[in-house]
Amino acid sequence: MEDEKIIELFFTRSETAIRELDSKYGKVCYSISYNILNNNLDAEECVNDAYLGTWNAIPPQKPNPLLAFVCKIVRNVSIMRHRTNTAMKRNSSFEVAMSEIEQCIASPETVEEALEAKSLARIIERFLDTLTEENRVIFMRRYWFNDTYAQISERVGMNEKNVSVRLTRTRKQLREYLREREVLV
Amino acid sequence: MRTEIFTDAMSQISDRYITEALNYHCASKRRPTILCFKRSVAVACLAVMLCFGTVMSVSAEARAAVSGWVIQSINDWFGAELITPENRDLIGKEIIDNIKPETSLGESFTVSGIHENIIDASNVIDSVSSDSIVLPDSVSEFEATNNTIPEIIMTNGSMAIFYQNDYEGWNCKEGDVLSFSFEKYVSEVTPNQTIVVGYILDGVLYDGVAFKNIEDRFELAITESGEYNIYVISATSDYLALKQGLIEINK
Repeated sequence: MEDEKIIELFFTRSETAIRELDSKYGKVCYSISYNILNNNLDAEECVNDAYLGTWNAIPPQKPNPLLAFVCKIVRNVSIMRHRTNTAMKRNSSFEVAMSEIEQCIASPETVEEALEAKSLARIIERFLDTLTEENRVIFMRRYWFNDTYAQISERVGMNEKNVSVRLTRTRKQLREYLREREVLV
Repeated sequence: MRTEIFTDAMSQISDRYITEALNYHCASKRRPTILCFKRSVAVACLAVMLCFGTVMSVSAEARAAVSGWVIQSINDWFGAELITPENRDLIGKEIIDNIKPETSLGESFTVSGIHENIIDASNVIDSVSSDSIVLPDSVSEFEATNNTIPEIIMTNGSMAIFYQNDYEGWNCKEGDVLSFSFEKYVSEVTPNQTIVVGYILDGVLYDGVAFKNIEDRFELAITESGEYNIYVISATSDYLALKQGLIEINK
């Protein structure tokens, strides 16, 4: 079913909207959540919570594209669940991806207090614009979708080692980019 | 910076980056690399050799000739390799069976296809600085230990790239001089074999410089800070062998 039709169903408050949404994008949503939580039940619950969030948001919102909108909700709900789950072991793709980026940006001398996440998001967007499409996708798949190297390599058609090398370089570039803009002192 | 801030920032990133990452699929799945192709051919040849095992076993001369041909052909197809006891006999020798499947990649390969193939095969090269650069037939990568490259033997048109740990290059700053001192083994065929030495900056391949002397030094005055890898390409029709060489940064 077309995204527009699904959104129409949401507007008419038809519960079929959730079924159609799940049928079309359920796999992607589950994958995003599972990469963060590394737990089937938690991931399923978060995806359901995200559907509820979508139900509450549409209307009034009329997102375009729908998939990115739902993915964002799934990711946010899953991250919130992850943060409250103190017994979580450091073995999910999310944890590994975050530990990589921590090595790239961690610094005791940051001016993070003065920096809002929103400002940082705009800086990261400008950084992403400096990358090639392929490197940008690799970065996003790793640090937004928390995909494993194997999943990324399959998507972009290169070997895992190559993906790893690309990410190492991109993190290094990001660090320099943040340093130049005094996000990192 | 705590990762939470990064995570929160990523959560607020524009939908267009998410959509791009969701919809991106490479135009074509990665083609088999030249190395894989060559290995497949070599394995096929060895299989054929085994079929002729009976014939080989009756004649010592036939056995010696075939074994020599197999070793030489495999080395020929493999591009650049570390010098080992098995291939050391080939140093300075002429290539007799110069079968070079890698130079004819097939009609379906366009020029950009060749680019992609070489780039795909390399863990260091991401792109080339200019389309006018003559690309190698094959690419092999060798780790330099304590800035010292290993001894390697190469066939015509093959490229060897040197790296440090985990395919990293040498971090140079503007004003540094990156140098590569090398010495070739003397060839019995051509006294002045040509070797091209060049560099890769942050994954971008730049054109190299040709050297003919047995012993020489490539020097690069750094005008742009970044991660540099040194590469060499054999530009001689016979085996070109390099002794241990040294990569240095003079600050």
